[in-house]
Amino acid sequence: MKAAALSMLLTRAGRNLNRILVSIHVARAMAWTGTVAGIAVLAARFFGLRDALTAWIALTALGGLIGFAVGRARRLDRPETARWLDRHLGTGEALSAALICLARGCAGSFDAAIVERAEVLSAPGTKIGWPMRFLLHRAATAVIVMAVFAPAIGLWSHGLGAPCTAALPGASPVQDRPGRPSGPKKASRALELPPQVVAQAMFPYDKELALQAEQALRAGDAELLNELIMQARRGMEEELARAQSPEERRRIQAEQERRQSIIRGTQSSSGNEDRDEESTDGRPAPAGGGEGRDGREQEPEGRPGKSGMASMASRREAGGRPQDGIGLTENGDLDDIYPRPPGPGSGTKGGGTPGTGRGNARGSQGRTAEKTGGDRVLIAPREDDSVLEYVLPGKGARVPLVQVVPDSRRAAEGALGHAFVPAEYADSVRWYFLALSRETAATPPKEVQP
Amino acid sequence: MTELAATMQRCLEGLGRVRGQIHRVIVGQEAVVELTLLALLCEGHVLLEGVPGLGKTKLVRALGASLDLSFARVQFTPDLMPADVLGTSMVGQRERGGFDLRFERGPIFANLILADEINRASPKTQAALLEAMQEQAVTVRGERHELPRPFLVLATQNPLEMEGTYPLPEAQIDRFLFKILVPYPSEEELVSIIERTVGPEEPCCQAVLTAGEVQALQHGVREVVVPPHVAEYAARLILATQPEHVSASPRVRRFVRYGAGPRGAQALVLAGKANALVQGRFNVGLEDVRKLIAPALRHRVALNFDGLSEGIRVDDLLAEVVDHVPVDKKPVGI
Repeated sequence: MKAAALSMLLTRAGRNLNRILVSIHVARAMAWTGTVAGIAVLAARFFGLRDALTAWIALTALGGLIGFAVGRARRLDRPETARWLDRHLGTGEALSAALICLARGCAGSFDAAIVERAEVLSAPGTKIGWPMRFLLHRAATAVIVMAVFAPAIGLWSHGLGAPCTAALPGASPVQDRPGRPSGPKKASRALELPPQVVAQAMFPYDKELALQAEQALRAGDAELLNELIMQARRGMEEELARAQSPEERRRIQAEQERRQSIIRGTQSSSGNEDRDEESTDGRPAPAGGGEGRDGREQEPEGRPGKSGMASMASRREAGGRPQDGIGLTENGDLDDIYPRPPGPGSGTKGGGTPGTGRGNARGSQGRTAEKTGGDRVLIAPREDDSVLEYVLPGKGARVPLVQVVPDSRRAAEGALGHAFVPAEYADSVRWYFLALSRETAATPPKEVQP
Repeated sequence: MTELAATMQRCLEGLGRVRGQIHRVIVGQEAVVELTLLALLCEGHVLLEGVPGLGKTKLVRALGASLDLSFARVQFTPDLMPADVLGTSMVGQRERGGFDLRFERGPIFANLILADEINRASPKTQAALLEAMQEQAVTVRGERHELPRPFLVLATQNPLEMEGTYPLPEAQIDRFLFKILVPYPSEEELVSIIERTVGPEEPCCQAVLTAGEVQALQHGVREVVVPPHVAEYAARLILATQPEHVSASPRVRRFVRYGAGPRGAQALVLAGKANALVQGRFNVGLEDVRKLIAPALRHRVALNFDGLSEGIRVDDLLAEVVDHVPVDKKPVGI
């Protein structure tokens, strides 16, 4: 049997509905990905992402493509189209039924009549109200998302607040130590330099001392490094004594002062250690220097580049791995070098294992009552209420009524449902249990004396 | 249009005449009459519940008179025995002499049975109806006797006088296609009842539909097409009445002791088919199922003590179920 009008209607409706459906999915996906990607790109832009606008457009377009794919995958087939049309034309499932009849070759007694009716309902003049409202809602959301994020990202990328990403070649900025208050941004620009460079900077005129200093830095041996500095100082004093010209004397004095300042810095950092420990207020600290990856990451901002020897030594004691790098300020000024204080949590000062505050005492809850078990259980909500007094097998233990009433009530419901009980007796049982339920709901569960 | 479809048109016109005949006697109660006719088309049994004097018995009598069908009335009392309903073996004289046992048929051997105040009979007698209602046959002394077709039990019960009654057990109440609540008549209907019944002549009905036409309609109901999504919707409605099921609403979980089962689903869809046919359609729609959920399921959903004490009405719970259950298992998205 032919059903030309029905087929045409289903084809037309299916095509249009699927277009709308795919568009809805695309708009919805673009709105979501546009929003999420916009926020993510703005955040990434803050940390230095370049060309944020392009990234956002690419992500949003990708979302749109995914929406398109999902929409294509969820396209309506003919039965679903017929169901939608039945719903919106109010045909009483006539089109769906006609499809079934056509699928089975109109073998049923009423199939021909059903298809005929569907043909009438599917006449070419049939007006269909397409669900444009859904599409407009989704499209409007997507447009709003575009209108909000595109200018915001564009402005930030090319106009306002582009963060400086300049960096010295071969140097990586030292990051803040987590959990510590941040200092000024300038102070955080500590640099990582190899020990060899540092050692040469410390002893530019004495290669042997520089070599020893490099080894001390690599080993994290602060005492040796101090010793080397003191040795160099003594040598310079001797040179100063032997100096003939005033220029040479000034040079030796300047060098001497520089090294003196290094020694002062080393000593003053010991005082900082104490302050640091006090500032932690006895709380368990992060696992000292041992958790640092390369001996520079946990440097406080206020003292850039002070990853000193003591710090490395303590880190090594705590299981950490001494590394090649030490901190140095961006301009390479050794005046700013301080040894890293040991982590306040390492060693015995860490405070030990915190107590849970619970302990083993559990009170009397869960304690097996002495009288539990046996052959009589007395259940009574009140001493003076003999009506609700209820004696069950058991001995000594008193079970709160609230614990037994629900089960008993369910059992009674089942029994009444399955047994031939005259109505007046069934009512008595019903009201008895309802009274019990109300009683137990009104009084808190407690053990009572029989 | 096929021959069956044409026959249906003719029979449906006859059904319209039956409706007219019943309304000569019964004033108002359109929904009750309509549901009773639907049950007739489904060959399903009906439990009519209402206070005395609302015309339950009269309705069944009028239906019997409008159809060219045999009709029997059984007044159920506590001392009614199964043999009084089914029939019994009697000693009879042979033509050639001598005696033998003959089965004397009871009132159950009729097309339309009015089981008046069915909840007054003892459980034993109520159970005697079970086989007849389900199998359309009775077995007496090991001998099976087929009942005439169509076979329809229309039982009445009074919800107020519960003293000395035996509420129908779940197994039996589940065998009724519909439980129809008979409401009080309105003022206009009361006036009309007074005018019709206190005069010298009492209106009566004439048979306008034959047993064959009734059976043709019953056959036609079975041929009505049910789209798969309508059947799925009916199944979801049934499951949502079961308190243990995940799709049950919080109120169903709280107030329902047990919900409808497979027989409820069959009743719902079959009644939907009959409703579609009476409306002149040959396929079931979602609206047919929604419309008939209350009469088809209200006696298959039992309230627990909480529900009874809170005064919850099963019809309200079923309306909530209809609101709660989605029409589509997988929404189309637009």
